[in-house]
Amino acid sequence: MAALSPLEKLMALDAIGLLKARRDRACDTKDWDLYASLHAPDHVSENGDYGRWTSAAEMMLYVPKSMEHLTTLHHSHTPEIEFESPTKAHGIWAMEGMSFWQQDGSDHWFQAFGHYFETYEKRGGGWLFTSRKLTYYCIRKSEGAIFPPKLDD
Amino acid sequence: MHGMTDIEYLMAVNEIQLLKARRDRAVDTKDWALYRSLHADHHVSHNDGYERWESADVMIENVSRLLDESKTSVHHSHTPDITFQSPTTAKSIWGMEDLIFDTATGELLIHGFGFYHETYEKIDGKWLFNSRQLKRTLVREKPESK
Repeated sequence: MAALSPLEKLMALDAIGLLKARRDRACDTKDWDLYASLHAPDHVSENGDYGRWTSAAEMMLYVPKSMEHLTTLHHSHTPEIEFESPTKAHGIWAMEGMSFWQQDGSDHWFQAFGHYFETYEKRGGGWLFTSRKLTYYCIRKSEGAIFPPKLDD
Repeated sequence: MHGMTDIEYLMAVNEIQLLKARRDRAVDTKDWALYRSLHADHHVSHNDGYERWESADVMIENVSRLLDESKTSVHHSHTPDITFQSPTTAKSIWGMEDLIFDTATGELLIHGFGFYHETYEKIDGKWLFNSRQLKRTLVREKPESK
C-alpha cells in the first residue's frame, strides 16, 4: 500500500470533515436524499436507541421515521481521524445531541453527550460513510419523556 | 516565522487538534492512562479555583480524584487559535464549554464557559501538552437547565 502524501492526507481529512458536516446538517434539516447519498450501500449503523442496521437502505427506512416528530440538534466536535490506507479511514467525534417534541400537549426534550465511532471509504472518487456507532456517556430527558420514539406504530 | 513549509505547518496544526480531541475524550470517558500519555512529564496545569499542578503526575492524581465516578463531565472545545514559535513548540487558545453532573442523581452541578490557554511541545516526534490554563468567562452553579 502506498502511503498518503502529507498533502493527500490533508485533502482527505478535509473531505471527511465535509462529509461529516453534511451528515449532521442533513439530519437536522431532514434532507433525507442528501443523508442517503453520504452513505455506502453496505453501511452499518449501531446506536443505543435502536440497535443495529446492516445496510444504508435499512437505515433510511428507520432514521426519517424516528425523527418525524422531533426537532433535532446534532453537533460534532474535535475529530480523531486516522487512515488505514489511502482509501480507508476511521474517526471518533465528540457529540452533543438534543431532541425536542410535543407529547400529550406538553413540551419534552432529550439531551445526550457521547462519541461517534465511524469508518469511511473512498469509492468512485468520493469519501462515504461505511459504518457509524454512537455511544452515549451521559443522557438526560424531561420528566415523563418517551424517548426514543417507537418505530413500529 | 516558524520555519516550516506550508504543508508541515498544516500537518502540525492537524496533529495538535488530534491531541486536543483525545484529551477531551479521555477526560469525559475517564481514560486516565490515555489522558496521562498526552502530557509531557513536566506539564503545568493552572485552572481557575485550583492551585498550580507542577507535573503531569500531580495533575492526573488531582483530575482523576475530582472527576471520579461520582461525577459525569462533558468538555467540548472549539475554534482553536494555534500559533507556532518553532517547528517543535506551539501555543493555542480554544473556546470551551463544560458541564459537570452528579452521576447518581443526574443533577447539573456546573455549567461553565471559558478559554483553554495551552502550550505544546513536539518530543521524540510526538506533540504533547506542556501546559494548560483554563480561564473562565462564566460558571453557572446548579442552573435550572442547560
